[in-house]
Amino acid sequence: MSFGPVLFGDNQFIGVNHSSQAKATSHFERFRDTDRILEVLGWAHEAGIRDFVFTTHERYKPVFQEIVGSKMFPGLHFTPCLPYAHKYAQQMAETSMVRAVLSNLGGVPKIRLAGSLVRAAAGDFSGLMQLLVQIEVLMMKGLPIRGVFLLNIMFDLLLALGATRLIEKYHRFVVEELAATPGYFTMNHPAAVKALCVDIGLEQPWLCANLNVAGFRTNPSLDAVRDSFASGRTRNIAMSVFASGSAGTDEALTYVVRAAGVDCILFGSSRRENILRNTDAVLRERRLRTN
Amino acid sequence: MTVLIVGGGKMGLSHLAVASSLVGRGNVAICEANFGLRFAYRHMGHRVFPSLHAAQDCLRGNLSAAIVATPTPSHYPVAKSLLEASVPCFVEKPLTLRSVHSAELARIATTRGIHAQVGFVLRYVATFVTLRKLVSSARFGPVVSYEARMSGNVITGRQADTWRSDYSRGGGCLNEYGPHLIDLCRYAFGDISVVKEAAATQVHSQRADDRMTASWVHVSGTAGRLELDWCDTARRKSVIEFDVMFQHAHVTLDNSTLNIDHLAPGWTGAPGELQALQSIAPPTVSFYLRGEEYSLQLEDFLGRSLQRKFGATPFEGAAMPALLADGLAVDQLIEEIARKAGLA
Repeated sequence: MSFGPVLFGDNQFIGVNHSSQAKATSHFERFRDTDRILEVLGWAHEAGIRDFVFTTHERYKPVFQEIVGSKMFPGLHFTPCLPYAHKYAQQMAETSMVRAVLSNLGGVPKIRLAGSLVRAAAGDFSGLMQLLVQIEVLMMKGLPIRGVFLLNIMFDLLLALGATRLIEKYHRFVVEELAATPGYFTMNHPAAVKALCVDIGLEQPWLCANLNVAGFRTNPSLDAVRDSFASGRTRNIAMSVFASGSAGTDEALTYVVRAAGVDCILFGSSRRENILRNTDAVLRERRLRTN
Repeated sequence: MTVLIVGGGKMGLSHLAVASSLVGRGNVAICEANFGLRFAYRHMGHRVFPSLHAAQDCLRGNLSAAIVATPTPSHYPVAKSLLEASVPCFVEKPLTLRSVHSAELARIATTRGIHAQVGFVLRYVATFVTLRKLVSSARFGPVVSYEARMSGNVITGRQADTWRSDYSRGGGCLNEYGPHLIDLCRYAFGDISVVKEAAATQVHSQRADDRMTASWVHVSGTAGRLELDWCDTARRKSVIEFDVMFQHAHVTLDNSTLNIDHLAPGWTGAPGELQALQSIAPPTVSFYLRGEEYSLQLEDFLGRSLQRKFGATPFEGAAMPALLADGLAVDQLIEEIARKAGLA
């Protein structure tokens, strides 16, 4: 299952802005209102975007209920990205790491939880991970799910810990049990390609990573990330294409759309004119490249 | 060669991941008292030890550096044991809960000539490095006064009776946020000569502060005001903001942006100078986990301890790691603020 050329992201809805903390705080407050999120999603749909890529933040529950109930946004596919780290970090601040994980499994049938705990006791944590994934995905009940992505805070952690078996089991679980496309956000694209394609042996897994003309958060270097995108070993979604607002829009988009190995572009915005303009610019560049 | 992480909680896990990416998983071991966590780390292929004693016994001369990420009350005995064995140490903030203990650790590190660092990670954030440069270069004249604020939503409701809600056990906003912001103020504006006043507010915690304000004067004569708030629900995550009045300019900054305005009439700079100062991008790192600053901090510590060069690009902040003397100075200021606010 492939993604459209433009994916709509959700940083604005949950108050993430890499270049301005003030803007982040203002957005965090503004989008407490479900209607405001629905309004912006409507602009993305109007622009022709058919993929919404989002973290599993609590504030989306009423949004998704409204979309399902009202049959809004036909053709729009949903790709949850997990885990929403702040939720777990908050719980860990108030309790222990183990208790924070277990407290999220409270609603799981006891027999399934017991089975997963037995496997964990034998050193296989994939059962617990699968339960956590299933719980997070419950929020999207009734919606068409295209992909299920691991956020970089988790994926890069597993990468650094060398937990390739766990990544492999996650990958298989998303394909076989959720019938969705697994994907991985990463801030270390070259290291991710090695782990997924060489160590695990996956065929063209989906990666989502920063690529921008300014080299913003392209680790270990812009050249290394650009080459890694171009290697052809992975399908790639480029994000932070505007370098969090620090690069001129046209130049920034052109650079990324023309870069080798970029399959899709992920961006978020809270302004209708930006959503329409950027989507149009990507599609126009794509047409030029195809012709 | 082994880098030992002492404490496998949230910070220990983060350090384990970054250290593993820098020196290789086989060269990092973890020491954790909790059986469940130890079990999980072992099954992920890490060398584990149930106690510092067991780790030191087993590793002996092979222990090249250690990162102390245990709960604050145990920083002192753990770091002391490591420093007395001449092991380069990185100790998470705050250094200890009693400045006499911090002083002892600083003395051992100095006497033995061991590199020892405190986890004041914000020294590796590009905007704060630029602030320090602006102050030391006096490009806009001397600093007249400033306000520093750290706010976030660590605590959002009534607290259970744990160490986190008890100042004497290392809990409360002053112990949690204070070390970061107090160190940044010292890093940017120099030593503090006197704390003038301090006031604590309780919102959710019974035996600790949820908000704190303090004012002080630096050795340079600069007046500073500090505000800490760990129950600000308008924040998604913790944010640090500075509002600095220089003689010739007003500068505001946070973790990611720096703005210069209200330049005094007649101030002239080179073409593009202001734009260059305000265009701050974080440096790339060899492995990114949760912010460049966490990677840069460990690249710096392990580079100094192992006499190796880590890091994708040179970073100016690496020239100024927080040493144990800095941890001691911060702990002394925390005690003074707590005393003035009636917490201790």
